[in-house]
Amino acid sequence: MKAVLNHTLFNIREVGTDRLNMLGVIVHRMGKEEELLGGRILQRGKEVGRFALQVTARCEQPTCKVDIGARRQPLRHELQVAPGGHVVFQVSGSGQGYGVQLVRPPRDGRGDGEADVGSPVPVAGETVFDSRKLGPGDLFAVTLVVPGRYTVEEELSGKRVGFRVTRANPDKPLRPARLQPVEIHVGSREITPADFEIGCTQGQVYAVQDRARLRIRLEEVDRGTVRKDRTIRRWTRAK
Amino acid sequence: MNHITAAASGKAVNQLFSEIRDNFSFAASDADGWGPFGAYYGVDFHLENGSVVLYDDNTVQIKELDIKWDTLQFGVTLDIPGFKVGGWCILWLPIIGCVLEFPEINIFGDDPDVDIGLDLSGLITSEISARARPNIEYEVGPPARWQLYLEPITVDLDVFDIPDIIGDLLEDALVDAVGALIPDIPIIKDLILAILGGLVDLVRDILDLGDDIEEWLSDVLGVSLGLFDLILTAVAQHLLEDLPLYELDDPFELLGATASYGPVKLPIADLTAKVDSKELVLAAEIGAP
Repeated sequence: MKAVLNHTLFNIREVGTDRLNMLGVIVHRMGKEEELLGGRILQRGKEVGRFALQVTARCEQPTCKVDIGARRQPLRHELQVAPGGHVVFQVSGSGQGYGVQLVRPPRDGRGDGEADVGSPVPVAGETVFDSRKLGPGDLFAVTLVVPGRYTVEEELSGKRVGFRVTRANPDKPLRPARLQPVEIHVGSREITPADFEIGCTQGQVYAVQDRARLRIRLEEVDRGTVRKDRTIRRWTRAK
Repeated sequence: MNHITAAASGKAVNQLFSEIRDNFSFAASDADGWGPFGAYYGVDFHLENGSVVLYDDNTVQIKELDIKWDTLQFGVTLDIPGFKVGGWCILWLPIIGCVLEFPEINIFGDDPDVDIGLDLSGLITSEISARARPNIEYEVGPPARWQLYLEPITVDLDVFDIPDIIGDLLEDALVDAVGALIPDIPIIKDLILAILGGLVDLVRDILDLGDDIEEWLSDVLGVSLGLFDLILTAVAQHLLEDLPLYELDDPFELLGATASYGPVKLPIADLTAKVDSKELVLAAEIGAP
């Protein structure tokens, strides 16, 4: 018999746009221009990896997933997204505290950002995306599995609201993939709705309307009690 | 022309058959898997009881030959999928639908697997019946001999008599095994139980169990794992090739050796066997074959 519990999943106590882990992802929509961008992966503020992201009309994929928790980062040309497409920054492993930046290098005369495979990933230039300061249109999607009382804080302005994640009901079948997420608007003046309640594993999508750096923290675990009852159906001989 | 004729009554044939029955044993094991579900067995049995009835159409019926399971280990293995969170839609577009989903996260490192073994040795009874006709073979030896075998025409294995209790045993074992995977921590246990939507239903779905455990077990052991065919083939081969019902040395020793003379032996040119409802008749011709 084999079963190794994913302890990280149940031990994470916070997730933020500059503290990404498996519980949260950032969705950033790319511009319409074809270009080659450099990516910097940060962990607790220090650079731990680089990648290149090519925005090109030759790519038919409207979305591109970048696992910023992976040890090996994709080289140039391996990450592509169509202009206007979405890039998803996610962490698949047990690592925590990740952030990410995209920079637009100075034009070098090649115009559309085409470059040779293996050439250095551009990391200097204009910062066009920074998970420490999300911009309008960016999404921060979160799924939480530990029931309890949480707070979400927009750290640039200090705005904070609370919400509750309810316990799963063992007698009520739960299909996490089929749950409708809750959309939360993060504006310059308020986070709405405030003091809401969501189910265990139910998604939350924070839609950033201005500038935002979000942090979600578990303040108090709803520990509940162990249920011992179970019902077993019995077989009967076919007549 | 037959020079020697010998007959055996039905009772005598039954006594001869008991030798065949008592010298039979069978052992086998196998395993196979189908997606997340696997099954295995280890069996060892011998034969007991049974009777032989003679018929006028030159056949015999072997009836109610009991399979005595010295070992009947049966087990199932399950890879239990579906312990995941996430997968919900982040970005949904009109007409296109969902274009972006939250990554799925495994609650366990891998899909957990469970292995449940049941000892059914004392719980299941089954029996074999066969229709056969006499068949003469000549063994060139040495020593050369004529042999009478029972050549199977049909061999049937009666469906196991599987008591209802096996269903409960299997289910309890599976539920306990799956339940043991779940940490006794309320927040985790509630979540996993809710995702499972009921352990029993999950197990039933994976195993494709209906309400009739007898049918299911027979199907898995007999059809999926091929145990029934294996048993039937082994019994048929035993009757046909392994142990003769009767054998006659060639030459046949009519008189044993004495101090003054050597043995008197008769060469058997041909041997035939025929069955009617009263007796089994052996007829031999003397002479070089």
